[in-house]
Amino acid sequence: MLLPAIAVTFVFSYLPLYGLQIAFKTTRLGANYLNGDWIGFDHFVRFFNAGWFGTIMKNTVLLSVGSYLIAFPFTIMLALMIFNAVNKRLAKFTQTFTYLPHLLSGVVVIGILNLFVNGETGLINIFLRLTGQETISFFGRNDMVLPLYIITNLWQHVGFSAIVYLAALNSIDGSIVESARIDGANKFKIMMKIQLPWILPVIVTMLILNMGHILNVSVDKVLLMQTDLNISASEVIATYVYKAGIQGAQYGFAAAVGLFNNCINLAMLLFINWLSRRINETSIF
Amino acid sequence: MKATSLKRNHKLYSGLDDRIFDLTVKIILLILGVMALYPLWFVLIASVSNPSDIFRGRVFLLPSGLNTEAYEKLLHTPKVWTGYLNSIIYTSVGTFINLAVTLPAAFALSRKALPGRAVFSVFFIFTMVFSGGLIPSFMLVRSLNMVDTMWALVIPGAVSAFNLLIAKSFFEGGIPESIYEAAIVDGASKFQFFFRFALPLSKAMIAVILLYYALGHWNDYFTPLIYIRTPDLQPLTIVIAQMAATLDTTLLEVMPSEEAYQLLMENSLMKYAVVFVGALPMIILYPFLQRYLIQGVMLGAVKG
Repeated sequence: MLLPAIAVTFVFSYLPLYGLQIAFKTTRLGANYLNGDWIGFDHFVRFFNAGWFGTIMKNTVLLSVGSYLIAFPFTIMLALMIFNAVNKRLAKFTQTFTYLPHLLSGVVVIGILNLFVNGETGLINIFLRLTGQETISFFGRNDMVLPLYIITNLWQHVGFSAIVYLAALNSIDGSIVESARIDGANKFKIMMKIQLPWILPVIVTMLILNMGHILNVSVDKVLLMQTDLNISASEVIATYVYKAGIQGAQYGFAAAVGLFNNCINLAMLLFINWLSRRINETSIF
Repeated sequence: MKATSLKRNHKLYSGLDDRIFDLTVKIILLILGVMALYPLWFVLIASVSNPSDIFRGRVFLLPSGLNTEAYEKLLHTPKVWTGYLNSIIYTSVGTFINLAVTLPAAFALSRKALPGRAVFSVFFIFTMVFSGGLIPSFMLVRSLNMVDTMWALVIPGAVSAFNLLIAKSFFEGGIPESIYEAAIVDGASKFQFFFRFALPLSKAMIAVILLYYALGHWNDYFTPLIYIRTPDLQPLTIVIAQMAATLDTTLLEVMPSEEAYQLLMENSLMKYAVVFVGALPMIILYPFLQRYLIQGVMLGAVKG
């Protein structure tokens, strides 16, 4: 029963590890792509010494960490608001429509974004024009990439990420809240002093789990947001690997860049795991 | 999750501060809910409005009339329908393969009698931690002659270690070892037990991982972008990207004329329509899926 799964995983997850040797070889085209000459770390050195290395690293970290750090407080706030709502129908409404975007593909999300911010036809620019203000070329400006990426991420994922915290809030012992009420605590105090500390372990765990993907950026969304004008703010490792490797056929070089990315991710994961074992004596593995 | 289990003991004390709190919660929830809903709503109302009304800023909360022009045009755009059909095929075939490979493996891993169980677990978990990356996978798929075929989309990702672990821990908890052993002693084969008992008892979990896999296939853009070249084989995501998510340099800046303006308006109407058509399947299925999505988070959380 295990055999099909093992076969598929071996072929498509382990064989590529063997194929990683092209990161250390000259690129040969054709079927014998593994037959290039060994060149050691040349591809890596070329990547590190390139002028845009710093830019790409900065963009990657900014987009992933930035969107994550901003989404985090929103997620927790949403969970607390839904949980503390007196009007359950309103809570249900908000819950339903904040989950929904999680099901949509990045393409649809960027398509919607496009209709709001694109050139002359986007809703925001129509509004700006009608009120006599200067229209904004959202996709033509470097300083717009991060905000737009963050906003789409918030819209897509905040509601869904809140589920975990809602579940944790639901497990609060009612008698604690009751005695706090009797002692005269108001709802705000209960939220800050009971509910928030109660979900703190979950918050820490989620933080740790997400640190393992520190360099992962939603590649389809970034690719779709990229233009020649904002490239110096929107080029990230994943889009760079795609362009150099798949489009540019520099397989060895692109594989080296990808390998570098995966090594950083792995190192982060191990580091966070070590850290969490030291701090709260739990680890993921 | 139901947010209703908080005991309604706020009646004990209901001073001004609590009423302010309730009101604040209400306002924030309303704002967040409307903000979440509005983008989709606007795309819908804009797609059926008169484009010149959109340009004059008259379409904001309600559509101006009912203009089905864009949808009629879409009906006569064959690539949208081939895209839909391709996406349906890739999603059903892909999900079927996912389940056919993942579920038996998860069941086998969940049985304590399996020799080398820990080794196999590590074998799968390792793929979550480290991978060869895009390029070596691409070279492999290419050398297997799977480029530009459906197989490039459905075979390489047949097992997701994450889903495998969810299924495994569900089988561990839901199918006790004692029942399994008793059935084997009574002469049932492993496969009989798997199909007659294990699977029917695990419907909730199967629904969850089916949903995860199916969503992954349906929403996938990057994999077909890399592997599929023939236009007739493109899934819906690629078609939408070509029609609506690509950023066109504004015609108006190049040649500001009445025709350019007209063309631009018609184009943007098509975009509204195609984006909405792209989002539609999920909007329709969402009420049925919501429960399983939430269950999925819970199953995953138990695991983590």
